[in-house]
Amino acid sequence: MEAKRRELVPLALLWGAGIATLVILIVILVYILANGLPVISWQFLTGEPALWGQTGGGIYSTIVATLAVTGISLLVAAPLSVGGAIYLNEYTKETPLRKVIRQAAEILAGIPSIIVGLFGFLFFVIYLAPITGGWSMISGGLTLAFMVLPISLRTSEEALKTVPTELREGSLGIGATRWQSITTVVLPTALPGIITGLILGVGRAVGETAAILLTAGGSLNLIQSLRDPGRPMTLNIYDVLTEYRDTTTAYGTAAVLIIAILAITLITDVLMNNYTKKLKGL
Amino acid sequence: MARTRYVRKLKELRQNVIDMGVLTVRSVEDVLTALEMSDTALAECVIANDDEINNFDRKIEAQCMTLLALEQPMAKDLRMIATSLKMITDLERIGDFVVDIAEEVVTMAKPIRIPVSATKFNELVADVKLMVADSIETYATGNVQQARSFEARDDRIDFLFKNIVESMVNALAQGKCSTETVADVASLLFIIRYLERIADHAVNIGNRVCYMEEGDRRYLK
Amino acid sequence: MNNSIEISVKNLNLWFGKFQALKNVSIDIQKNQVTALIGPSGCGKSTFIKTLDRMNDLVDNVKTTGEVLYQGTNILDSDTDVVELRKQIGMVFQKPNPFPKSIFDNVAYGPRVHGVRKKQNLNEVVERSLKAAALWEEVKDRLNESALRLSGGQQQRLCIARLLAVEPEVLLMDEPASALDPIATSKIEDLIYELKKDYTIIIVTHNMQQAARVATNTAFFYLGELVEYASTIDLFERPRDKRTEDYVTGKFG
Repeated sequence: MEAKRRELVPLALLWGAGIATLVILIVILVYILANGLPVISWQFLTGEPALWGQTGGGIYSTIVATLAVTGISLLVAAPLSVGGAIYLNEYTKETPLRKVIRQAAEILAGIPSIIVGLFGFLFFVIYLAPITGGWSMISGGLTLAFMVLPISLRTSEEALKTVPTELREGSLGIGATRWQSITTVVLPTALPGIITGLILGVGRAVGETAAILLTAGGSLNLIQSLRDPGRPMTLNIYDVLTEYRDTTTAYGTAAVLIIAILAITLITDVLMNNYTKKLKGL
Repeated sequence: MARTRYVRKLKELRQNVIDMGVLTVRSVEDVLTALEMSDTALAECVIANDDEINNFDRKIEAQCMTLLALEQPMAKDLRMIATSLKMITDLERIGDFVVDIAEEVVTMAKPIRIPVSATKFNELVADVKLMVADSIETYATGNVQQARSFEARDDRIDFLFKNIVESMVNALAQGKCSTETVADVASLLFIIRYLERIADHAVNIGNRVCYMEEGDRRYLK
Repeated sequence: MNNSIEISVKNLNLWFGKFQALKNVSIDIQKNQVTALIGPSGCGKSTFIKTLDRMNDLVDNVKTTGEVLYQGTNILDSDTDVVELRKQIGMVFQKPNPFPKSIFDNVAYGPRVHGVRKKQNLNEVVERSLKAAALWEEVKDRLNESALRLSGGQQQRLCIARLLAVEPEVLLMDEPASALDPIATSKIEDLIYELKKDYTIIIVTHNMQQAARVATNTAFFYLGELVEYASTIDLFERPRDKRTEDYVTGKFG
């Protein structure tokens, strides 16, 4: 009995720690959604933002801008990270080069976003202005790609590592080439992990503010092309709060963002779960 | 060393076979003494002791089967067990022949008179006695050289056997025997036949020992 | 052993870095027979068998010298078509490793990878291979189910069927039954016995009784050396080398 009682204290503390995480999440969600949900309406979502100096209006252009930069970052980061992970894990042996690349990815992941933004500003906005259009979606998207890349490279590599070697051996053992083995056996098995990793990256991209601040431009106008400047939702929250003290729009935008992220995460989870179950034949 | 219990069981088996062999050798010696001394009481004793030899036969067979079933013996261990299984049959048969000789000794008129040259007869008896004892010794020591000599020695015994039979048959034909002696001659003919068969079984044992030691099946016929 | 020779190994040495795993191994593998490789853990038998289909290439820091002659060429040469070699010499592993696909797709994988496309041909190959692996009757009505739903023994036979589908000459089996229960093991052994009519089979096993049951010839490896190679009955009834004697009678250590 004594042992059982001694177990209770650590158990309670640990339970508390776990609950604390949940509580914090709920508090944030509830606060934002309580203030933000009422603001959301069809008009809010599809309407043009208010003109300079006025509050209210919709956030349609910001939604489009978010989609643009996120899309570009994903388009660039996904093949690079998955391809890089495949190269590192499937084609090379454990040489110093591999360790260096991995270390580089980790360091890149740790660089403060404002600094990445600074680089993006100097390189994409200024130096490559003729190509990117200066302050633009392209500049923003490419900069974001730098932030997504290390995360999804890491998670993709981890996902590939979880594929048991026996599967590769089984495939090679009947005379498949390495590439055939990768595409028909390894990748399908590692897919849930890879997708999850990419979604994590997307989450980061969607939520990134500092780097966007320095590269995307901040214009409220609806973008006509990718070389136009724009204002993604995160930047919008910052801007409307600092410039107009427009808490209503801020809450609304925040609510939309949170709902979007929740939705993407949950849907991906469900889809990947189903995929894994099907893979295992359950 | 691994499998200590198993190794101990193998040693026990080997010792049991040797013990059975020693018992058999003693029976052979006793019955031949009984023959020499015309000792009916000793002959009866020998007959009674055959039970012990048969008990050994059963006990050792069970031991072998257990080892085969439970221990998956291989190589020399396997050959030793197979040799032991076959050898106890030879020993048991020798025991039976000893009983047969003893029964003849009991029925013969006393004192037992041999109507032909005693030298050849004594030589036959001595040779057989020695070969049986030697066969057990080769099993115990693994002395393949010695075992290989049994064939030649058996040839000598067969020769003596045929020789003695011929002499006795001649003696009968020439009417050199009295009526009591005639009955005894029949018994004596049986006895030396049994001795010759005992020698054959001793040779078998020798061959099996060669297989056990060297693994060559050509020894087994 | 006057059969024809399928694989001839001459003076094979192999190092993992500084550690020498195979020491001057020379052995002739007979065609259409089952050859078993036995020996204590770490004796080199798995390393040896993996050399035969160049699976050791997947490991870092491996150096090999010597020859492995198969169909007239030394397969250790750097210009050997390893992919083609592995079609001829296929391997089954200790833990069954079906792909997370349907039963049909598992068996059809090999042929598809080698260019067979037509549905009818694939169907034939799959049926033929599953029959040869003694699995057809059990799965013919559920070919589209995931292979992962099969029992361990069935999965292993599936892996064998997968191999047979590419029509190899030689089957390498690295402890194929050690992860299976006794009944499944018996089925695999029966299968091996049937298969040897059409294939040359080399099986690594740490279970001596299994080697005794299925193999015509047995090779005993110890500390990277091939100590003794003889017909199975000779090796187990009258081994020549004391190390072999000690191993088969269990008196090692």
